[in-house]
Amino acid sequence: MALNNAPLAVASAIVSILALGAGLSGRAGLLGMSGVALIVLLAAMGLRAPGRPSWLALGTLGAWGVVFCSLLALGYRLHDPAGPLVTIGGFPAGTAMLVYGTTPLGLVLGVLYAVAFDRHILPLDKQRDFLRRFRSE
Amino acid sequence: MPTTDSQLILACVVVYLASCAAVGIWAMRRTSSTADFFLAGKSLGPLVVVMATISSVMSGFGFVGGPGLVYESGTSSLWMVFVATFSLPVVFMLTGKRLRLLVEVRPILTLPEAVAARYGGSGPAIVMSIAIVLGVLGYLGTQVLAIGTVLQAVLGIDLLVALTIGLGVLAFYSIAGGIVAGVYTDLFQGLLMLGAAIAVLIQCLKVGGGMQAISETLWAMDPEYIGPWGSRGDMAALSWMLLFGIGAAGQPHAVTKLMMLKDIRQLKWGALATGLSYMVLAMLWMGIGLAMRTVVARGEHPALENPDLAAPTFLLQYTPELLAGIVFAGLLAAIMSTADSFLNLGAAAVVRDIPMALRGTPLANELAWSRVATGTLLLLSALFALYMENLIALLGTFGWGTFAAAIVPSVCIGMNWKRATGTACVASIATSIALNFILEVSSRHGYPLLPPGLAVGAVALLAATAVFVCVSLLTRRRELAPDIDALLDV
Repeated sequence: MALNNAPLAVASAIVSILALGAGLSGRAGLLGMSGVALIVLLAAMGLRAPGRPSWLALGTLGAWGVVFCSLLALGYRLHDPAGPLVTIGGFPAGTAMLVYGTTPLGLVLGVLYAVAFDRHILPLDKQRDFLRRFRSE
Repeated sequence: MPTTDSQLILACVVVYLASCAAVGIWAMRRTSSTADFFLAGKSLGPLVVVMATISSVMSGFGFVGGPGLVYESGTSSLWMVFVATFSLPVVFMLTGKRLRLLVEVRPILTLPEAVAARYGGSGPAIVMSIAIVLGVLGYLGTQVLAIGTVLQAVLGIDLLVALTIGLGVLAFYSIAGGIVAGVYTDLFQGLLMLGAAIAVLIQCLKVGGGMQAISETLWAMDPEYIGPWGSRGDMAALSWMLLFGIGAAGQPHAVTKLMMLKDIRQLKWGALATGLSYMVLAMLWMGIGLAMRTVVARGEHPALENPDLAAPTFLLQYTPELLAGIVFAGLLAAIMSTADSFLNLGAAAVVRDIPMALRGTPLANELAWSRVATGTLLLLSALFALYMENLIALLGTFGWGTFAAAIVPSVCIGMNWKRATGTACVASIATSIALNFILEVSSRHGYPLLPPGLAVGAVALLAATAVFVCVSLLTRRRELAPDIDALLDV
């Protein structure tokens, strides 16, 4: 079965153009959100494999993107330079979303890769079959 | 420039330089072919690959430039470094499996060779080699300058003498031992710095009186500085997030490390291990910068002449001698191993990739020529660093963005999408080089073409991605070789 990542590739191009427009027009928030969407689309291309539906992995990836965007939005909302200092774990509340939120959240993708590796990313039988066909000893 | 008269720090650095020479001799015995010189004979275990990947990405910029950026503009630059927790796993997702399988079925040693195999024809490999050589020259120049700066601080000697000592050791172990010497220095450095980063962070909190007290001081100085986007604002922070979050997958010195793994199944936990290790190292980047700015804001220390002095100043004046010695040794290791990776990439492009693309066959006596090319590149970068500092700074900034914009579309998307074409690969790499160069030069000469804060590399990356997909859809794809066709379906 052939892998068709065309929809994800086209979506990546569209999101890139959107992010470019956001950056050039000075809309930082939109640039950040579209940047996260681009990361999710590219990671999904790497996670997908033909004949091995991985809806749980792709769903987790999508949820990761939504949570990441929510933390970015919270960063904006909680940062009030004119108000008094409110801290979470020693950092100003908005900055705490970066330090305690988005940073460890990134590790979820590493866990996802490990969990999906044997079943979706590279099943042992697919690896052996490919190497048997093409490796010259 | 702060210097030290501590014998302990000096001893740590001297021991480190001597162990580098020893690693060079040991690695030379293990390097008998070009495959050993460029890909460590595909024999590395998972710990070595994880440490080599994070170490080559962190480099002198991370340990010297990173704390300097935090000192200068607060949390803005944390968006470059904290994203590594997901950007490094994305490197594994996009390139790990297929590149590693490819080197198993074809005699491929470098990224341009992988691109040539993927797209066919010589065009993609030649433009990829040119992008790599341009990026390498810039990166090498900055690493060479960093070696001189650190040795000057530790030994208290003239820059030229410091450069001669540092480059002498680097030349010996990189020419003799190739990438084998580099990756084992990475292992040493990575393990050392993981431990040191935690100890330094504790020291930073101690000097600043705890995170709450640091935040209060910096908030009183400037709330934006310690806010979520830092003094450079949200546009800079978020465009850096995009560039560094995606761009890591386009750094050839990181991607090629995955091709060196002995057993492909060991990729499985590598993504999480690299992300986690880098997160620990990032504490050093953040901690030193914030602590140094705090003591300056409180009037306990005079303002620094140059933000890049934040790390050496903090280590020499606010950390116990042994810890400072260990971090200085680790810092030199970081710079030297990254320089070794770049020397290796540059030599491969000059000696292997371009001749292969033009003639279809490798050079005779390739290993000897690789060593000659490594030495020549080192000499050129030293001359550049000494006499063309402006060009080096330009190429250094240009390096990450060019690699990201050139390699992410053509390798990361191309290895995961059959419809991608060689014409699109050439077009996207040309777009990335042209945009990075034009936007960087115009901004440096006072004619910025982009809104304030927007990173040049992020614009080039987005444009190159769009060009790659659009040109692929508009051009005819060559018939794929059976192994490549099957590889893209694995």
